Amino acid sequence: MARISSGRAHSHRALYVLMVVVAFLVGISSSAEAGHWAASGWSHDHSSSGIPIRPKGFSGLNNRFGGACNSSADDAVTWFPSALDRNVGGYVYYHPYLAVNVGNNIRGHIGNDHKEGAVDYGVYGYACRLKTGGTQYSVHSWGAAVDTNTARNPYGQTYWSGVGADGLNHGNYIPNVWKGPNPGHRFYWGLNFSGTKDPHHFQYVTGY
Amino acid sequence: MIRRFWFAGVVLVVLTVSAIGAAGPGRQPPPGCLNSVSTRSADEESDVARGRGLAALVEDTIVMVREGGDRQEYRHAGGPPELLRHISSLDGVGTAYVNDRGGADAVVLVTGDGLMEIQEPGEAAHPALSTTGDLAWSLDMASLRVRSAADGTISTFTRPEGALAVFSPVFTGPQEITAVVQEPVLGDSGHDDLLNNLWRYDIAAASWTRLTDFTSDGDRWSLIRTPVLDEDGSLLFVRLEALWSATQPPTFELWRLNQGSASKVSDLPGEMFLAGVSEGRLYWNVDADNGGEWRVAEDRGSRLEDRGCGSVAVDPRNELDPDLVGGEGSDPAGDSSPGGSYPGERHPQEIAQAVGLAVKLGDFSSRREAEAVGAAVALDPAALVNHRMAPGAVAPGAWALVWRIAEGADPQTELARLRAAFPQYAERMWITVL
Repeated sequence: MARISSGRAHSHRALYVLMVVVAFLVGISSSAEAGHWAASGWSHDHSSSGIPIRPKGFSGLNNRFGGACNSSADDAVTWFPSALDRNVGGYVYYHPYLAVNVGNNIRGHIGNDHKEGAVDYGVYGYACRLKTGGTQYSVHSWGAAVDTNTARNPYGQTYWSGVGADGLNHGNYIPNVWKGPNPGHRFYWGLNFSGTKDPHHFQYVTGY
Repeated sequence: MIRRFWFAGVVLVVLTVSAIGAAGPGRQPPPGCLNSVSTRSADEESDVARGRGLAALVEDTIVMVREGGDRQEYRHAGGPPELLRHISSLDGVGTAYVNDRGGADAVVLVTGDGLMEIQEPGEAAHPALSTTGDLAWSLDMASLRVRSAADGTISTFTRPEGALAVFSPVFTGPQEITAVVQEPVLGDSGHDDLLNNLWRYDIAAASWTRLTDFTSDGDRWSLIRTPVLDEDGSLLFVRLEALWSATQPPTFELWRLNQGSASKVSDLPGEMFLAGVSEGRLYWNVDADNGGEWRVAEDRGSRLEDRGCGSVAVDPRNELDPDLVGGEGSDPAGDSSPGGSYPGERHPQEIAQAVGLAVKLGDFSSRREAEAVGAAVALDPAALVNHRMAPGAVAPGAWALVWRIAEGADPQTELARLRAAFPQYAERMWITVL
């Protein structure tokens, strides 16, 4: 077995120390973030503002959110961990109708529960797009849908993988925080589509 | 025949659209959509079976649209309809459409031999007939299925290797089908459509050939919808293009594929899709009410003429998709009423209160930069926040300015007010929760 030269041994040791320091700082950051939610007196808002009426069908979507790809559809924003890449957070844009439910209820749950690691790449909100093969706009076009943990739960997969960005299996924590045990936060889960399953997709409408 | 398009010169749309409200969920079409209670059955003696006219669907009714606006209505004669969609007819051959059920669909074929329902194991879409009576459709967007009129056998042709989906087949020759293929785009999840091209499938050779060369750069997408065979053997299709990150609907264009070469015919004025060619006339499905029902319009060269409501190859508008109404969390209890405390819910801090809704201006890379802008907009220095103070509103390492939204105030109104007050920062303002 080849011996590592003393020079490379020093660099390996330094790298190990650096990794420990980074992990410590990430832990501090997560703790501080979780501390924010609790210390600030965060709580759910399950009023009619917090969990608003969930529409049905195309006309319901238009009535509640405006037309597809309208100028308000990406006017609300929330920072999510691992949105852009694993352990690289980013902003997720969506319709203001859902600002409290997403920005306070769902994001607050994740932070207050110390579950940032359960979120995995990628997390997406508004996108002006059409459904595959059809003339219907995607629900993302209204800013009324969010995809999360996309990489481990691709379109067409028939089950949910609860492995988060931290490598741990969090079970159904993420789906439950979006859809809830009934009534929860009332997002309709793509794993419940009777056609092609979409396990990373959560939308605020049924029948469309 | 050289087909001239009404929008080739001055765009002049003449649609005599009666005031029709959008139908809610249920079996009743919008008022004024159908002329009579449909007592005639779409059986082997009907125009549906003969493929006479352009077939269109209004809820459970099949409407055969003839030249000059004559509409003959027929009742679906097959199994219990859940959602009828995607219909096509071919003169002298017949009519085919999809009975969309939660889960497995049925493809319905009506010819002079009677009605046949082909039970499929998944989602069927876009049935199309050949001149010899063969029938093709897409199954689960993953493959094409072709039923032979000669012996009734059904063959399956999988999508091109590496492709994500295949749909909208058109018989463009005795042994060839041209279809729309969804192609992968680097970095995209494949959920929803980003890039389409036309491909031809040679049945005898069992091989695919790419016919068009549209591209996507990830944000800008390019799609193809409703290809239709014209009388001269060329293929007309609608192309859509947009930036998915922009809050702006796509542009619509009419294209023609002729002898292997695709060229743009014209820009289209709005959301409209090809419906088919029948009796020498080109028909469109038009969204005349900006989100209402689909209308059929006959292309008269210099103008469009309304031919009543009905959808052909377009997806239904106001009927609920039976695949998206069931399962956990779909219960309607909360759909028409606001949220609130439900019996059995276990939330220790279930308090309805004003949360920290705010309009945010950011991000800034330093506190100093944020303070400078804050001074420029006369904002209180206490309105500076960072990630530690607002982890859901500001990225790590960044700063932002916030205007808290008063309880009861409309967030969108506040956002609009601040964008108007400070237009130089309008593009960096959003609603968020602190």
